[in-house]
Amino acid sequence: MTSQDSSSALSATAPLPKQRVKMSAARRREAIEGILYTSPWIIGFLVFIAGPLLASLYLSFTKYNVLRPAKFIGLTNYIFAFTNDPLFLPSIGRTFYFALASVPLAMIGSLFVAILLNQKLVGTTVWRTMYFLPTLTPIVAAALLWRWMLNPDVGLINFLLDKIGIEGPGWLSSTTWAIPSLVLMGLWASVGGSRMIIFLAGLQDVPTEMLEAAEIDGAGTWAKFWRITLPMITPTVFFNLVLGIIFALRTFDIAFVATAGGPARATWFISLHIYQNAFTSFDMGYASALAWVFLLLILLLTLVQFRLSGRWVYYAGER
Amino acid sequence: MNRKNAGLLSRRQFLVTMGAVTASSLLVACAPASPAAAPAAEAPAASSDAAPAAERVTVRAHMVEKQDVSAWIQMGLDQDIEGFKEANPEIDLVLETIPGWTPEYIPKILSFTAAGTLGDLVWFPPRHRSHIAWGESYGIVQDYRPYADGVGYKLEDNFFQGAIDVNSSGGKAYWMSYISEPIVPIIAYNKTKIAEMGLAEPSDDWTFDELADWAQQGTTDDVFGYDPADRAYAAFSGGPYYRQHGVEPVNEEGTQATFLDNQEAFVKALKYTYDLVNTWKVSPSPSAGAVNAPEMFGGQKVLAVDIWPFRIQIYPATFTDFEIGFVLTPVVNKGDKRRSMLNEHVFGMTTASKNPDAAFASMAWFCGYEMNVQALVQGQKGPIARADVWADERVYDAVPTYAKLRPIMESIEPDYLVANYRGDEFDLAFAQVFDAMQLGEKQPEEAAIEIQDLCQAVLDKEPA
Repeated sequence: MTSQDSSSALSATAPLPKQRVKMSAARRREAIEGILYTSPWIIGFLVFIAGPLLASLYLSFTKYNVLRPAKFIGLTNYIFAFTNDPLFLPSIGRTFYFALASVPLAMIGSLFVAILLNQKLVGTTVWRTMYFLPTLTPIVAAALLWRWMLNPDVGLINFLLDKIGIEGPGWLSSTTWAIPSLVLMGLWASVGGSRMIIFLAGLQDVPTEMLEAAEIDGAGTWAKFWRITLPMITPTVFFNLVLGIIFALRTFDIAFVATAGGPARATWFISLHIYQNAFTSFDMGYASALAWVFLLLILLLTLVQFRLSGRWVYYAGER
Repeated sequence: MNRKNAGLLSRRQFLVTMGAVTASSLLVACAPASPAAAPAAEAPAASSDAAPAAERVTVRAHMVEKQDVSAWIQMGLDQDIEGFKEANPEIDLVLETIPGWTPEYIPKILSFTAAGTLGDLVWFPPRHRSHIAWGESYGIVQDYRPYADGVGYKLEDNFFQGAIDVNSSGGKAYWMSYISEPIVPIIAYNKTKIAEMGLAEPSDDWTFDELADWAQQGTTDDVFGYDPADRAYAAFSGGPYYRQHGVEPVNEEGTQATFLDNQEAFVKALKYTYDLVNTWKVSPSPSAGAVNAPEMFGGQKVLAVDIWPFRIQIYPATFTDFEIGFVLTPVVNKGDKRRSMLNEHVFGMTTASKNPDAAFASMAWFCGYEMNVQALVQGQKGPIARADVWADERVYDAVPTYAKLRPIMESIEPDYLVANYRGDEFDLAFAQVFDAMQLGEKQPEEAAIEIQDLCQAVLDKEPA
């Protein structure tokens, strides 16, 4: 091959110089307008979410109490959490206990209510509204109401238990029963809520022809639910499970109002621990480190769920 | 624009309008505080040294909204006690009150400080001298002694030395006592009911054992004999109780928990509180829900309750169905020296104050002689660490029970020091174990060791 040949070959295979795709004036104006229309959200996201998030990551490596400039201390906050803070690991344990107890019950409860409300019954709309109402109750009001209901001496629950010959426990006043009490309160507030609505939407998406075919083949109610309905709504179950676990782990308000973390720190969840460090002790740097450890834990748990979802979640659209 | 769209806003017009609105909002939000929000900043030549005498200055005082704090100061202003308004016509005193208690109040003060909009005076109820951090570390309050000296105000002529010492550090006076009282030194009891039950009147020299016997005699199916109520045997409100048993929670430097230095006495003290609830059952158990002591006392469901001094006037005025008696809290053995601990609400002058002389004058008036005599006579707030107030007969004519507190106040012992200023955390650590013990879930011996460990963990933390 001559040099001339080679040079012509090179020129034939060499990529063409990048040509700037020229955007028409109308397209450009449309793009600018699009950005401008979304800019309130973008600015809000940057200022109120991304900015504080990055700031808290930086602060987690500092000693910072709001009043004095942050002082960089490397990993000290993280090391302190795992080695010297007697409340940190127990608070994580309690938070997981709460999530483990509340999420399955809430999932089963919501699914059960959704199945009931999916029946073609008279007054379905009224029932749906009634089940949804507790979700609309402000959590502070609900917590105060439940504090009264669970009062060991004068509360409604123990009064009713007493009527059937059962001596009620101390509920929120007992270190053993405090978390189960919060689970109960959470269930009341959430079983008929958005989780149930999402299940209801999932149930209404189950193809009726499949159910009818199964019925013709002699499948009973339970078999239809177990073999058709449940597999068909696994994406909904997965979605609710992921969000349910995240929300349960983040629980703050109900414990803050109903027990303030007591008795004897029996309901001292990680969110309360972060709050106490940030807004009572003003260890903003340490509180940021705790928040990041907690975020990573939730992230890890969510990734594991996604990894395992391939084994049990069925997407009808996938081959 | 065609006729169909005539009168409608085009996309361009919409964006221009929204852009202008957003820009204006951002400008307004980022502008310096308005004169109404920060009047002190507007006052030129704020110091009275520099300002012409007649020029008005505004003093902004931050405090919680509470009967014995903001409400009483407002009443004092309305009544112009000690002629404050007449003597200081140039001062506009603005009480900036915050509803709630320290969890709501302190973040607000820190926000004001961080934003540079803090006023001239701040109120604070310290725990184990945590307030010193506000002067030494945070730089929120300043040494007011130079302003006091400037007007010939001698701190030592006004306050008990102990109250000056706990509010100062390194020779700097950061805080001034506003409410200063012995921590829960007295028990209120239902005189009418104990007469009906044939119980003896308790006497001021009684012991804890006698209290336990008395409470057991007074306990029936419907009535508890005694509830620790305000004292609750906690780390702060129970401070004098543990001292009375010979237990000092922290060493002098405030760095080491010393509960176990006298372990036998500490366990004995804890066991007494445990027995009240779990063995003798003379006090309502926390396992039956939060105990509302004033409600139970008023409802005659409990015969005797430990109280803060301010209730000495409130209870007889509130619970009129029965006669109330007052007796000092017990000692361990007859004739023991009475131990005590000082509780305070204080005011400090901020480093941000633009009118420090006017701020000092206002603070000195809050904490002044006549203002505090009237506070006691009118039953609006607790006492103060001023010898002249405690020597004023008008106080005893109005509230004879205060005579019982006078010797305690005159030899008052300071609150113990938590040197890293994490007093609230220290109290929470104590409560974590103590509450479990009172619920019957821990034995006193085990609780004593855990309290020591958890409190030491707080003391080992970095300074706040």
